[in-house]
Amino acid sequence: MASVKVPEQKIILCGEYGVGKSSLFRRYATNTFVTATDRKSTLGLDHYEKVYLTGDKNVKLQLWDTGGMERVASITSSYYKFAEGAILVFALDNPDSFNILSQHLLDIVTYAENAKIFLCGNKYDLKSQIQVTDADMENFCEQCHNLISGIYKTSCKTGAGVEEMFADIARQLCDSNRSRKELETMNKDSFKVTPPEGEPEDSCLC
Amino acid sequence: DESDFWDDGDDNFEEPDYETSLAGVNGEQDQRKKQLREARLREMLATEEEYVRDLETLLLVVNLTSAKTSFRAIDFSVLLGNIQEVLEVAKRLMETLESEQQNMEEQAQVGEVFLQFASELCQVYKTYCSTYSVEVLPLLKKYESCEAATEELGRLAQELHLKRPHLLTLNTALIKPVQRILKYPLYLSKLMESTESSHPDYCNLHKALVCLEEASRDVNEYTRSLNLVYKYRGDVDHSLHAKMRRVSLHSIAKKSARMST
Repeated sequence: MASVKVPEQKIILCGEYGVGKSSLFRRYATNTFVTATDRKSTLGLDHYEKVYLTGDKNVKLQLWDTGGMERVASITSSYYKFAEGAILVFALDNPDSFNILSQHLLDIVTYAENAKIFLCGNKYDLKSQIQVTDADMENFCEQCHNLISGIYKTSCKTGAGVEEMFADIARQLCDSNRSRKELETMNKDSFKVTPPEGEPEDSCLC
Repeated sequence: DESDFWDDGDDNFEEPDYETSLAGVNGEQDQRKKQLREARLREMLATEEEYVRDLETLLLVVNLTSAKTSFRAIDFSVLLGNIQEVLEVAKRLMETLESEQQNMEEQAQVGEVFLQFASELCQVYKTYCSTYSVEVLPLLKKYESCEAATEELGRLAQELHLKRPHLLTLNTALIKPVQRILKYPLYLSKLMESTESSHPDYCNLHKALVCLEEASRDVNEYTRSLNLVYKYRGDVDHSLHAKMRRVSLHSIAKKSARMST
């Protein structure tokens, strides 16, 4: 193998219209613009890919923007397919956007059955107007039988918490991939009588 | 930054609140609204252009690559569906909008253009989106476990990515029409927000918005019913699959409708 393949992880954004999903997407995309030649608007972009280094492994997060899909149920399933991660987004100043998350969660579990699920409270900068508390979020996670792998608070206005969230998601997806691969290898090995001859394991486990 | 106009959640700080900050200064307020309308129209057109170019590139790459090297494992006729039709209507919509904007400038009748195209958009996208959901996605899923197909899809993705860096995989290109048809209502409602109610475009924008929302619902409903049909067929043992294909969709649709009630 000439090059080490960097695995792609599809991440989708779920939540009500107006909670800041496109803002998160834009933050994710624009923060990577480094050189002048690379610099371009996010105009018309629906998908954006970034490579994260987690430990000694690279992982590619491919974020998908929704743009209008939140309103049409049957089509949403197309968007959810093949997702490895799903971020449930709500606005911290809008309890309704939080209370409806269980519906979005159901969609994820149905259409993206293997996705790791994360919770993200956006608009953290609106300090005085925050109505959804940390306790509310923890309760929600408990009610979902700990289906939620991470809780984050972000502000797309200031950018606070955004990069940290994606970096953590990248790390978690990489870890879970690694353990899945290890499990697969273990299963495979358990049926083998002799180990393969001098065949080195794939160095990339995630 | 114009690209921030479509923000779904943070409008208040992405777009300065012209209504309160300029309260009382009517002239300036009108001016501001006019600029916003122009900017939003420009953005709608720019994204339509990008979208058309994405589809063109996809078709070009598929044609070029399949002419150069053979793709044995991938069934393009299923994957692409009626994308050619989608491209044609999108292109005509784009050209009509562009000439309207250039000729009429401030008086551009965007709503009218969309009303002209509404039923055609609905028909063409209905076919595309439902096929994408019931045939394309399951096929892509199948390809995941086929080494030859994965390798070919990888090669194709590389070609796409070279020509259009934001096209990451075949699937990110194939889902574009699904995402596009659902965006029109968003664009239209934003445009309406920044159009004076006395503007000649206002009334038709509203009608177009209702029409395109109806179209999304229609696409959605059609996809749902077709999914049901396929689900029913999918439950059938594979050896029966070929036989089942001959049974008319209509009778299955009736059966599955009965079963689901």
